Amino acid sequence: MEIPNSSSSANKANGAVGGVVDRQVVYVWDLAIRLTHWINVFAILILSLTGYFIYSPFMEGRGEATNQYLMGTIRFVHFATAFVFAVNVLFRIYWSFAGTKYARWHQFVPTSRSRLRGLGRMLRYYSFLRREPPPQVGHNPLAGLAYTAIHILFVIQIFTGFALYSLAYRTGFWPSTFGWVNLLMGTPLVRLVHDIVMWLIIAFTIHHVYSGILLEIEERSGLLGSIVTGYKSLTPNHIYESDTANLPKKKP
Amino acid sequence: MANPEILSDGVWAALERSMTSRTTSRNVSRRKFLRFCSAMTAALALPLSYTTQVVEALEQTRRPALVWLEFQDCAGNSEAALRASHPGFAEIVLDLLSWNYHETVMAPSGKAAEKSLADTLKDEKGKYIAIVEGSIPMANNGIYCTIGGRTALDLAKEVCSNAYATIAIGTCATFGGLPAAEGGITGAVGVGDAIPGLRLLNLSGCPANGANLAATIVHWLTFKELPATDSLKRPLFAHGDRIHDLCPRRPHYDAGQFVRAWGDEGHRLGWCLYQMGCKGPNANYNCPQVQFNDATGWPIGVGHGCVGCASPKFWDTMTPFYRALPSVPGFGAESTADAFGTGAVAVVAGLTAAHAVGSIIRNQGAKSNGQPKAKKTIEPNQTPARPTEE
Ligand code: SF4
Repeated sequence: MEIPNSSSSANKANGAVGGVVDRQVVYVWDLAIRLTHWINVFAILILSLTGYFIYSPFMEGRGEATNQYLMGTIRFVHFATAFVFAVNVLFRIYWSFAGTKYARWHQFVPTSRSRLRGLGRMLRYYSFLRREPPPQVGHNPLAGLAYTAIHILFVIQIFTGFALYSLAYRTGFWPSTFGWVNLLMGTPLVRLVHDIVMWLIIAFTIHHVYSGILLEIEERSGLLGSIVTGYKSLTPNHIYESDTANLPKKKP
Repeated sequence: MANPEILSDGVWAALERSMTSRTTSRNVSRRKFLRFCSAMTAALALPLSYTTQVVEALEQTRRPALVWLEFQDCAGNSEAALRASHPGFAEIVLDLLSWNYHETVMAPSGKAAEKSLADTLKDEKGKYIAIVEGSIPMANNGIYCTIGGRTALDLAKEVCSNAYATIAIGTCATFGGLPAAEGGITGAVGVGDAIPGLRLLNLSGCPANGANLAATIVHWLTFKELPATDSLKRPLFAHGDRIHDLCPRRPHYDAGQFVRAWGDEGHRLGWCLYQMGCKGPNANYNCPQVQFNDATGWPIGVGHGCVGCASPKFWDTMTPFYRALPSVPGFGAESTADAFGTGAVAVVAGLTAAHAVGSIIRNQGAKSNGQPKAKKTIEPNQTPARPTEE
């Protein structure tokens, strides 16, 4: 995007006519981002429910055990979904190196000075020390960092999960690839970590949905819809500030 | 266990050949001897046809020497091994080997006992089997366990490094066991950690099943080598499969039928003990097949969950024994994963709600200041106005 060298106040003047800001529709989230996001949503939902059941069955198979396969079925669903989830996470990590601009790793790991500065601004915004959320086209730096953390949790979940899965095998791929996790921590601790990380992911989800709604209300950029359509409608200000690397605002 | 009545012809032929051999000169009936051989073949998870080979090998054995050392132990493994009367451990195995030194059971004492140990080390160097029971203390130069003025480590080093092989028996000798549990001050470790580089077999468990010890010895006598092991040096025939996968209560697990309280209806019906803290899903051992006390029972069989006694550091990792998951470290002994997890979610939900209230107040404030936010009145999808130069 070509951004002319001008001050942001000038942009505002140009962009806002009679209180109405011209919006630009920007394609932010490519198809792969959106698909992996929604696969994650449904996988996490299914995995959390079935996983909690495996830990603490809240229903009981009635009648003769011969005719029942309640836990067996739930575990099957858990494992099948786990495979989908694992492949999905793996692909998303790959996509952060091969995907489009806003799918890439620099959206998640703040390395540039501007994104580090944006981190502080977002924190100030969340703690009511700043009125407006700093404009961004893709993820704001704080959200990106949170998604890095959540992906680390995902990877922990995948490793502990497959380590537990490997217990059913005597030899072969699963024990030789993931067996070390059990030996390292002791299997009950692997189960504990697997359980606690589930709760952390649920806690993250609460905040994730909340911050989406909050920023949607603040910015009216179609943030919530963007994860379905891929498009955000952004003010020139947004696009400018985001792409000129969050330079400090100059007061005229 | 294989039934001698259904032994193959080959076995009977071997039996015929052995009629005049040492078997009959023992105090053991040939029927009992054969029963023992077939039971050992079964315990080793070998096809029944191997019974012939086992019978022949045991016929020809020239009574190799064995020494049994005890360190930080309770003699539970000695007890378990010697009381494994079915299938005749005491009668047969004690006869197959020259049991030269074993503090709990040997007749000599004092200097005479030490002499028989020293003689074995000298005369049978590289040929005898060393069995170690109990953990070896490493803290303070190992002063927590000394025998005849020598530390356990010193003794074990001498005896084990001169042996053909060392068998660590019981969870204390294999992985440190109870003396190595959190809070222990003796720096207890298993044999493998105390003396690296030994030809070692870990017969773990609390106690290790005597039948597995007998089977290991039979394997050695028959095939002249130790059985194949897993990554923890435990024999695969005993630790290859998971208890959970062999458990007779497993159909109830799969059906979702769980004991919820001791003595409830599910408990009386023999349902799965997972909710009562059974660690069978984490433990590899052949208890369900070989069982204890003359194969009359085993923990899960009699209604108590598995505690994973054959796993490394089981006293620390498998506790609490009566809960499905361990406590959350650093949050007090009684904190369950559930309480922690729901607590974490509640805290985040609470903070989120508080933040939402804060945001609403802030936006109200902005409105009442008479500064409507320009961006809220926007028509979306308008032609973008590019920033232009001044
Ligand atoms: S009782 Fe224990 S080992 Fe048996 S099925 Fe239940 S959880 Fe598994």
